[in-house]
Amino acid sequence: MAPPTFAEVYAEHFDYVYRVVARLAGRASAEDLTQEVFLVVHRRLAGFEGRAKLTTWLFQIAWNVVGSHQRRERVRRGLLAVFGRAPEPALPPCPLERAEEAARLARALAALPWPQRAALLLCEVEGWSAALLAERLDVPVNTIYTRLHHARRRLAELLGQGEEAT
Amino acid sequence: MKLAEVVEEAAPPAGARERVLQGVHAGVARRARRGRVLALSAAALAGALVATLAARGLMTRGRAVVALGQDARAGQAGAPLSAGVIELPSHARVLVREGSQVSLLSDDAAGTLVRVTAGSMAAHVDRRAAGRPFVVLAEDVRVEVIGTTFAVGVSDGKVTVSGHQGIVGVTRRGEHALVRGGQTWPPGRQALRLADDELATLLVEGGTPPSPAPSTSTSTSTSTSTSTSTSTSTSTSTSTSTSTRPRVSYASARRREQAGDVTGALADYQRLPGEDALYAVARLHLTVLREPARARAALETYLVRHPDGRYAREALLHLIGLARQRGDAAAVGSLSARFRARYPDDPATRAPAAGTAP
Repeated sequence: MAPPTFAEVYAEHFDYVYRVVARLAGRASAEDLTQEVFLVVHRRLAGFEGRAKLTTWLFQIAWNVVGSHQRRERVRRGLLAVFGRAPEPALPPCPLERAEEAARLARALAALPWPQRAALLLCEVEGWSAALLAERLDVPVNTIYTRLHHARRRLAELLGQGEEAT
Repeated sequence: MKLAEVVEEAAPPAGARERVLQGVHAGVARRARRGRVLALSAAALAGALVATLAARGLMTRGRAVVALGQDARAGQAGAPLSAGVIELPSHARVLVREGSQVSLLSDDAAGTLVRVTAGSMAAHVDRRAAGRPFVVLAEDVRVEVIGTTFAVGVSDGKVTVSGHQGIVGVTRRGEHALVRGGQTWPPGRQALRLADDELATLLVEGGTPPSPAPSTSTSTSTSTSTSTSTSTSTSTSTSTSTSTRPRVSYASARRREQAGDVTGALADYQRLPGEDALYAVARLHLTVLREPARARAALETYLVRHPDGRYAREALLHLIGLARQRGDAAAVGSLSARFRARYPDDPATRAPAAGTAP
């Protein structure tokens, strides 16, 4: 069977890729990173042999692109912190229902190691099964369970600390 | 509280599919272009090497390698340019001073690329179309011309850029700065001055008569030197707007702000490039100095320069708030519409939308 064309892949799987990327990296950089993913797809599609499902292949590209982005961001933030240039704090421009609660949770999520955060968001929010995520990442399913366990425990600790502090 | 209730929505917003596809197409085209540029650069470098070797042989016999305008018009990439004024096929005029090493790497539909290895040059460039820049490379400095008259010099590995008219953008190691007429980069460096006759030769037939540039017109008329960074300068009127200022960093501006010196911090932020500093200016006007008109100007500038910047969302929301404060219902409406179009799924979309009803 002939491999799909780029246009077919884009038309059929854009929403899926965007959703995965937005979930893994956040909405702020989702468009840029989705574009990066599809640039990789454009470059490598000719070599796609259909040994894995197309969605699995796309997920792995997205995972790698977002992973690289996370590492670059971590280095950037580290450097900014070293030179006293933490990013300008954004002002809350308008009242938002449950904003404080959401911000606390967002901070706690951001503090999780990225594989744990990704597992938590994809399984808890997107409703993926651990088996599906394990298949997409090509890791044993128990690895996903372990990541989820650690993520939940760490999240509870972080949220507990926040409550104690307030 | 459930995680799913508070994490942001991950569905693609309206228009994202088209925007991303455009970006992908642009990226694919860029990659193809980069491949071509690499090939051309290799050819240009080889040409420059050959031309340099040839030039050395000819120079020992006391002859100019490139006659004024001739080789440049022929479009020989990588050709060393001899002293004098050269009109390039793209109609930019380049003045190369005696003893300078300047080469033309390319001059075509993709733009003009000139390298200064030693000595100095000046150029007059009419406003260029986007995607067709006039770029001068000197050591690790890149000077991109936006339509101006300027000079670039290299001495002992130190690069100086002096603006005479208009604006040039200077980039070094990822840091960007704008050099306007009368300014010198880096600040504090002695300006590369253009003598009247040099200026005249640059501007004649250049299409754009020299516009009055208060800070430079005086200095160029009183200066009789053709000082370059490689020669001894006899110029005495080298005042620039930035020459006496101490160095400023974002961190130092931030420290000033935290120490309560808001005015000093504001002045420092205004001198710094980058979106953090620009947004900090807006923030100070908005929240500390309570100057809504200036805050608005800074926010609008921010959005023009960084439409997809880190603070673009906040900037737009603040503009909506300011428009609401001054009772400008039309502005509130148009800004809210702009916000909804840009951030259709943003949780804050409901808030500005609700307030748009005049």
